[in-house]
Order: sequence, then structure tokens, then C-alpha cells
Amino acid sequence: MIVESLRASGFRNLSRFEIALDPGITLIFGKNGQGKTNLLEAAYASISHRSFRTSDLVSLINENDEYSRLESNITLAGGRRADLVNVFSRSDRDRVQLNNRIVKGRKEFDRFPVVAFVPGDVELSRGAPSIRRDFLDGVGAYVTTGYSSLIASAERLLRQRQTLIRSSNPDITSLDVFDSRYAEVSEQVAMEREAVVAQLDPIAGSIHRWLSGGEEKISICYRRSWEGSCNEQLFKARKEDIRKGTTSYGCHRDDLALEIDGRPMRSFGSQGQARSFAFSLKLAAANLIEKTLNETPVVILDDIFSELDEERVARLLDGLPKYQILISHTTIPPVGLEMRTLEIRQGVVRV
Amino acid sequence: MYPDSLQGLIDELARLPGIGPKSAQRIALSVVKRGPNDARRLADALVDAVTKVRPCRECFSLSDGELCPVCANPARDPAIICVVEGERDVLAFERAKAFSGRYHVLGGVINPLEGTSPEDLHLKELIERLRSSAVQEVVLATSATVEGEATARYLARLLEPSGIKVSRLATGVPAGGDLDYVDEVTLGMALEGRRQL
Ligand SMILES: [Zn+2]
Repeated sequence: MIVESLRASGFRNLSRFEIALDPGITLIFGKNGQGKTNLLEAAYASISHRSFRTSDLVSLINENDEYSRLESNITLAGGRRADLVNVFSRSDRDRVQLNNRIVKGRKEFDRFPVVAFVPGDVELSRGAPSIRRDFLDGVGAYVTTGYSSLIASAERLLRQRQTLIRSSNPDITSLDVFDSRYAEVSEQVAMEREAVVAQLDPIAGSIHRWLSGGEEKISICYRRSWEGSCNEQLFKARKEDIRKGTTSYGCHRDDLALEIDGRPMRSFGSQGQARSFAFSLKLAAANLIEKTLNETPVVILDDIFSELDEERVARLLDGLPKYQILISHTTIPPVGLEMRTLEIRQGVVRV
Repeated sequence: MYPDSLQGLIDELARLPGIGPKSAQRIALSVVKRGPNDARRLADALVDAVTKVRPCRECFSLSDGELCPVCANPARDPAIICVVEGERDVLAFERAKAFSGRYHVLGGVINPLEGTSPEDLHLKELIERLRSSAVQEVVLATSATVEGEATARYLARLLEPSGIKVSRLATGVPAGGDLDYVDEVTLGMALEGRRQL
């Protein structure tokens, strides 16, 4: 898919703007603190109603504004058009319109794939397991039908179970019921995530070989938090869970194990390897999403030149010719590639 | 900006579910224009409904008397009971005219987050009904939400010792709808609940 144009008002520090975007690479350059990442974020949010920086969407609204409005015109594979309007509101409910019709829920966004690579992604290797689960779930939402609602059910069941075990005198049959439902849904989530990993792993492996010039070998593997039956383990852990007020088993405790050259990334990977590992994973995600949806994702690369050396960046951009790419950097980089440039100064976008 | 009496009416209307400030204004202005006779009829109907309607003694559905029209109707099959979350679900089934048994309204679903526990639902009364009458089948028609599903499971466990047949309402594809427009979760469940022809 291609975002043909983007209009924004009331978005972070950015002055109201309207820009046309190229189907190829667009470079957004400017000094630090001028709003480069904000512009990338606006593009990302306009097709996902999310941010790659925060889950607090009110923070997207300019401090002097009541709401922020993003409009994008999209061309999908096969030439179909889609017009999206996202309104983030301080006091009202957020609103999303697709082709002038109000849409509810997240489902429609699963048709508009976007993959962002941001400096914080090094945390994929070293950060908390939730970061890796969120990554997997982000991919799953695009490539597996019904994935988002499955995750939503799991989250809801977990919250219900947590409330129950923390209540003063939990009803045992209720606990049995919520435990068995949560265990069931956790098994389903684990199976779906394993299916995503099984598809992602070989793609990430070959992308990484290519990116590292054949030097490194990576692999990913899903780790369930339970063995055998989740329900049985939850049942056995119940007394302890009630004492601690936590839930010991289930898909919220699972993790994605990352290995480089046969060793765990977490303990053996360098900072540079963490960056390129995350990069390969994101690219593999873009690739898998494209294959499954028959739709090219929009790729957003925030501050990529400070993340990877020039040679890797050049190889990378060269390998991504068919994606629409938005990149930010402080200057026009010395990479011999054709790209359109947009300058940003104090929140003002200059075409 | 409106006279106090009119503003008072608008405020009262706006407190009702599904009526926003704009609708409240429109309704209030229209009531005022129609004059006192219409208004009195409306007021009478309101008071009449509020004072007369109460839960049915048997099934907790809405009723004008001790028993609701369904429970009072001897033609309704007492051997099959459809368990629903709320009174509105009874109305939905009745509109569909597809069910000839009786109902039992739970008055909610088990929802720890909102503080609704099994004791808050009409469960004891359901067990009592099953004990005192010749019920052969209980249809669990709670909604397909996380809480509706959990409540159905809870009931299934509760009823297990009784030996009464317990079934769950199938979730499926809306009749006359294009499969294209059915969301994938519903479609998946419809496929799971398929039957042989
Ligand atoms: Zn009744």
C-alpha cells in the first residue's frame, strides 16, 4: 500500500500541514528536536490509530489543542483507494472514519500494514518479555484472522481472574471457570503465536544473513510459560497465586527466545547485534505481512543511520525497493539512493 | 437559554440511556408543542409502567402481574428453559417466535471486574425451579462475550449434578447476510457449530 497524502492538525509540535508522499523513499531531515519523529509518528498513527512511542494517545494532541486530526489517502494493492480520518480527542471518544464511514474497533486497521523501526527496538533483545509478545501480537494481528479478538479475550479473562484472586473470599466455582477459560484461550494464543514464529523464523534468518553479510545466524523460538496442560498448572498454582495476587501461568507469561549463533541474545548479544537483530525481525515481519496480506506494508525508519552503519543502511534500503519508506535523519545522508526529501524546522514541514 | 421548566425537562430526558443533549432538546420541544393532553397521556403511561411492571415470580422477566405472559401461558413448554442475561433478551427471542419453552432471566453475568458475583444473579431461583418442575433441558443463551461465556460455563457446572440436559446457544451467521460481511470470529464459530444435513 502507498500513503499518497497526509494531512495533520493539532499533532504534537507540528504546525498544520498537508504533504504528498512518494511511493518510494522519503527522507525527513532536520536538526534534533524539530519534529522529525513526530512527523513519522503522524504517518504511523494515521494508518494504525496507534503510536510507536506511547500507548497514551492523548499525548499525541498538541498541548494547545482539544483534538488532533490526521487524514490520509491510501492506495491499496490492485488500485483500490481508502481514505482514513483519525481524530484523537482530549475529552471525547476518539473517532476513526474509513471512506467517510465511522468504524469501530481495531479490525479495519489490520488491512493497512505498517512496520516501524525505532531506536527503542533494541529492547526487543534485552527488554521485558512483554515487548517481544507485543511485537508478535502486532504481526499476528495482520497475518492471522481473528487474532486481535483472541488477544482481547485473553486480556479480559486475565483481568477477571486477577480481580477474583485478589478479592477477599473468591468464589471457587467462578475461579474454576475463569481459570479454565483463561487456560483454554492461552493455549489458543500460544498456538497462534507459535504459528507466527514458525513463519517468521526462516525469513528473519535469511534477512539477517544478508544484512550481516553472511556472518551471523539468528533464530527465534516461542516459549510457553507452562508445560503440558495450562489449566492443570494454573490449578496447582492457585493457592500460591491467591497468596501473591498474581497469575503464574498463561500467555501473559510467555516469551520469545532470541538466539544468535546458537546462544541467547539476552546474555551474549552486543548492543550492535541487538540493533540488527531487531531490525531483521521487523523486516521479516514486513515480509511476512506482505506475503500474507498481498499488501506491501509502509516502513518507517526512525533515526536508522545512527542505529546501523552506513553500509548496512545502504544494503537495507537497496533491498527494500518496493516498500514505501519514510526515514528520518539529521542531514541528507551520503547514501547513493534516489529519495525525496522533506525538511522540518521547528515543527514546520517544508516541501 | 431555555425557560427553567423546559430546561428541567431537557435535563431529565438527557439522563435516559441513548438520549444525548441534542435528542433531549428535540424531544422536549416536541412534547411542549403537542400540548398538555398529549403530555398528560405520556406522564400517565410513564407512571403506570413504572408502578405496575415488576419481575415475574417465576422467570424474572418483566411482567404486569405475578406471572409474565410467557409463564402464564399453559401452551408454553415447561420442560425447556432458556437462560438469558436480561429482560431484553426475552423480548428478542419472543420477537423471533422460534422458542416455545420458558425463560429464566439471570439479571446479569458473572463479572468480577464490575463486582457481579454469582450471588447477584437469579441462580438459586433457577435451581429451585429445576428442582420443583419437570425440566428436561436448559438452553444457555448468555451472550458470546468473555463474561457471558464464563457464566454459561458456571451454569453448566452448577447443573451437572442434576443430570438435566444442558445446551449452549450456537453462534452463527446472520440469516440473509452475505458471508463477505460476517466477521471472521463469528464465521469461525458458525463453522465449529455446524450440523449435518
Ligand atoms: Zn415469567
